[in-house]
Amino acid sequence: MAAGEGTDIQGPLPVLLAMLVCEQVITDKDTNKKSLIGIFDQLHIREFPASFSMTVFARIADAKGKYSLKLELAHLQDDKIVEESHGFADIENRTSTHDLLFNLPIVIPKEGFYEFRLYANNAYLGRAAFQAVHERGEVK
Amino acid sequence: MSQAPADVRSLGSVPDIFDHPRFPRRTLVVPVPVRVGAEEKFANKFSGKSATPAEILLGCLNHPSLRLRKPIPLKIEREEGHVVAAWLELDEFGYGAYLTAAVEDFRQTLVEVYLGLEGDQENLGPELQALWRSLQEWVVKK
Repeated sequence: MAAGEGTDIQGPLPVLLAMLVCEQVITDKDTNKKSLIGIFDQLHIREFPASFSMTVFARIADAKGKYSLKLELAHLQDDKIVEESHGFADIENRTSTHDLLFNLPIVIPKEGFYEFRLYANNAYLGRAAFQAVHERGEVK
Repeated sequence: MSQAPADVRSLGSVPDIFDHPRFPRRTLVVPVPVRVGAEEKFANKFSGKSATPAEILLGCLNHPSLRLRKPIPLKIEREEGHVVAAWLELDEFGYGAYLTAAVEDFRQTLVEVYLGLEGDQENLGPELQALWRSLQEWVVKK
């Protein structure tokens, strides 16, 4: 594959500064500050498959122009894509950082290690991982 | 720009909560579509698509002072239980237990090669000088 092939590069490649998985993100209307609630890297689940609502927070810099965004959820042991979501971003100011919030209803099919992979214009930027643990005993 | 797959539907519009006079609009809530047939996938558990593609474009080095001018095409192969991410043009590789681990190893290798060549400019032979020139077409120091 040649560089840029399959991409729609209209601006610079974004730099990924942070990527986290959490339960929700609350944005203060007055200050536009964000609070990430329930950041996790492990889920204890009693029964699979299990459905969850979670948010992937990503902060990018050095971005300008239109970007096609893709977020994949991969199960590492099975080497399979569980979920794939798409979105778009149009960024005007390259000098500011920008926050991306992916609000996702996710189905976790089985235990194991998972990771979200973020792509901009088909170029891989980074990942955020978590583990789904089968909780066989009583959850305290 | 590529369109979202046809088998997706939008969750609906996202309320615009960012128009505040004191703070610039710099937050993007990505309206993530949900695939129609999620219930079926719930039963089927997996989409079946491999999480290790044959090729991937690397778009970010995750380094404080180095960035990419353009995405690097990496050829991905499985070898004896681990994944190899290879940049054939400059003959650089990364290894790992899975795709992103191999890509991360490649990133570190590339950064080390770039910084190593940069710091030893006076002693580079013809081959390494050629490598350095090629690298500068892809990597830039901020």
